[in-house]
Amino acid sequence: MKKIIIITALVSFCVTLVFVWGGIKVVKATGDAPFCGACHSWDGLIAQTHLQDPIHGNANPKGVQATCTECHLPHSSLVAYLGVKAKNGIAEGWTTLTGDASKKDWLANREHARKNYTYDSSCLACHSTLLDKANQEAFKEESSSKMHLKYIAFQETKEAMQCTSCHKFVGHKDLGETLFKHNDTRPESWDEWEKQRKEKK
Amino acid sequence: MKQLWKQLLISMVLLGGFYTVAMAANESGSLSATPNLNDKYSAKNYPIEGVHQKLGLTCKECHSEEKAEDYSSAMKATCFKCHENYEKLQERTGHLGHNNNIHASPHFTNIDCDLCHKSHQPSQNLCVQCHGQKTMKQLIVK
Amino acid sequence: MLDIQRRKAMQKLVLLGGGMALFSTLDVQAKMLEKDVPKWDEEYDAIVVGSGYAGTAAMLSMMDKGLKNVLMIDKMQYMGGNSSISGGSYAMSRTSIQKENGVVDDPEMHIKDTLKSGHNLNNPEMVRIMAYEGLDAFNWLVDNGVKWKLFSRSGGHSAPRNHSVGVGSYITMPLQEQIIKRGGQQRTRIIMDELVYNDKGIVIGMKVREKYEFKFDRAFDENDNKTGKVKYYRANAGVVLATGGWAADPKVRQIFDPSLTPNMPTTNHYGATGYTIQKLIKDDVDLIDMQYIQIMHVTSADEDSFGFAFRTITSGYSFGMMINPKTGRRFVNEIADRKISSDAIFAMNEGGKNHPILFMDVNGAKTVEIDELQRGIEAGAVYQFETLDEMIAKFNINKEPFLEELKKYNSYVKAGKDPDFNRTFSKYKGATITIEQPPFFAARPGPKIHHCMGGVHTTVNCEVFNKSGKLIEGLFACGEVTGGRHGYNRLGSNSVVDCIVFGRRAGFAIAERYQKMVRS
Repeated sequence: MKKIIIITALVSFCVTLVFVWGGIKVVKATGDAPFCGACHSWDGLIAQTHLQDPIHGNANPKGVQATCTECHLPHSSLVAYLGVKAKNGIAEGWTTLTGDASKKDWLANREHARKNYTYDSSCLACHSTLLDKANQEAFKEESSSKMHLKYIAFQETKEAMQCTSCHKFVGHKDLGETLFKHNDTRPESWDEWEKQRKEKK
Repeated sequence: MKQLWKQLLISMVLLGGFYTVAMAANESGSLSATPNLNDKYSAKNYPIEGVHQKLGLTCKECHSEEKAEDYSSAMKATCFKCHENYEKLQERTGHLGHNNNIHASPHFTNIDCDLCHKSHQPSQNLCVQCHGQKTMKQLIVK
Repeated sequence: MLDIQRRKAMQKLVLLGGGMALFSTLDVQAKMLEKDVPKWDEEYDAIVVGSGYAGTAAMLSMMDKGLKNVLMIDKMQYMGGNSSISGGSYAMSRTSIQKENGVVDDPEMHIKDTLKSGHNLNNPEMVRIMAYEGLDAFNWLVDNGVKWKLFSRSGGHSAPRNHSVGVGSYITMPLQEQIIKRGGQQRTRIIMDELVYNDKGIVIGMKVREKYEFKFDRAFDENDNKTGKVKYYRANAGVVLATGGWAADPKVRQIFDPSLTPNMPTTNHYGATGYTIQKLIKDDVDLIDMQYIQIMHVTSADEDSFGFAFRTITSGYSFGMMINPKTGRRFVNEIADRKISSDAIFAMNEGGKNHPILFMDVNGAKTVEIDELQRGIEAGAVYQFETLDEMIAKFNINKEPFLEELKKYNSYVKAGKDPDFNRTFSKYKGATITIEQPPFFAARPGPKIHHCMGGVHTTVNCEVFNKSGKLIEGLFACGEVTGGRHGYNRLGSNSVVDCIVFGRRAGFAIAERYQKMVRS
């Protein structure tokens, strides 16, 4: 009897270890560009703007960068994180298989994405001292402190704001211009113009 | 004789008065794009709208002059305290495309913000004055 | 008896004295004198008023000669005025770009073209200076970061000699970057209200208003704009005026040419008012050729102000044909100068109800940069037609005579001779272009008030004359605010030459004045 318990415990321990370690690895791997971009092949263009971002993206000269899920999944708790990840994964898997990414107006979608797929908890996960700083005497006069105090005051009211209400262009450099250029099919040279005319015929 | 001196005195006073009035009229005052008001510089007479109002900004948070009668809308430096710089603004309106990106004019750099964006008067679009394509006409200047 | 006489005499004297005093108060805006300045708020070695081609060139040139404590001001909320929105085109012979394009040209031809357009009313020495010294100025621009992009031929020029940067700000901005790099100061929203003279009549400073708020309303008289805070700036070696023209001022332009009514469109930015020129008149400055105000026809009637169709239309005049839709026929030499062409268009466009049609085929259109052409299309000012019939239908063109005229035109191009209007046909990459291959691109030119040929009377060194023919010491002027360079009518692309060449001369002259003052 004792032997069975010990073996079961040991085996369970090992299995759990493997699963948790493996699980963490999977969660991490499914949280960054190569994985996201594999399905999000159209917003591969959007992912590229992240690669070029010099503050939160790969172009940061100090090497500090945020991965896709560090911003686009909530960090308020592990349950929230995994829950939303699972939900989004299923929903997006479905739309990627059944929908047509090229038909979506990504430019107009930015506001929707900002509202629903960015989370204050993820910003604050890294910028954790921000709101405390706003309350401190030494930083009282800075405009950022004044604005962050307003943010705190508005929390839980109907005027509640998100970080991205003001910081709209975090993480994706020249997103608007990139999307506009992609939509703009006008020729950039006379040769292209000739080519387009031939193709139309 | 006394009469004459009286006349002289009166005409000198009148002349002096005329000169003072003329000089004052010649001297231009400070900001007066709006008409005279009592208790001129109150929030009631200079209301703020939109996001600036939501954030509860007060006069002093934008206007850096000491006296209220010297307040001018020429305050690019104050705008940039929150709105950073022109590169960021260009990025913000990059989605309008090259021909409509009003913050990336090939003609003018560093335009004073208040040329277009006014807090106490209706805003206006500078670019549309020459470039009247439909997409430009449809732009709303906040 | 004596008492009454004395009384009457005293009364008369008082009235006379009062009357004289009153008379002077009526002219409250007479010259401002040094003693009227309460205190100088700032002091500079020289001040340039206006930040377009001429002002910027003057500023950088005086810095080239060693002046350091110098200021350039502009009343608008942006720098560069009309220069920033202009085509940025510089007419010059003997440039390396001309040689690369195999063009044979020389300054005498340039002078001849300029005098012809000016009806010989130009100051011949000034024209000579522009044509010869302009090459040095051209190279100076390149040395200071200006990059030439396009090369073409403008109306009235006998050879292609128009070098363009794309847009005028690509000339003023590199120069202004140099100014800032080297410690010069330039500020917006400062308007000059008065020049200040010392008791010898020398200009020593100015009265300005800072934080000036220009009002964007063409009907609003700038004299009624009282915004800004009054300040006094001392200018030790003097002031350079480069305040530009007044084509956008419906009141002032009509004083000098009553046909320029308020509702006529203009290419100019809103800031081109007569505010400064009116002050100069009151200050007894001598003005010449004020009645010559140019109307330009390289803009589209379908767009406001300068607009986007400008480059397509310019190419159209070189490689296309312009007709009156009602008659279907040509009515002018398309490559004639602005005065001849605008007059011809006014004569047939029935006050805007019958715009001319200028069109080219696809080979002509390819002489235009594709994004410029597309911008014109986006603005609704350039039209594309797959067939001539489409174009005829759209503009209600008189079909039979039109097709006949087109056939004639193409034969003229091939023969190299235009017996109807004496047009010379431009070449692109060595060959002339007919109108045969679809699609066709069209525009409707609409003349707009553009440039003031007249203005301040100066010497060739930009020193300003007063009405009695004496020089006003300490005062210099350059650019569109001056007169005499262009005479009756200005050739396209000659203005930039005028502004840069004489802007430099003004800068050198004031620098020299400063050095003299320092030495003495």
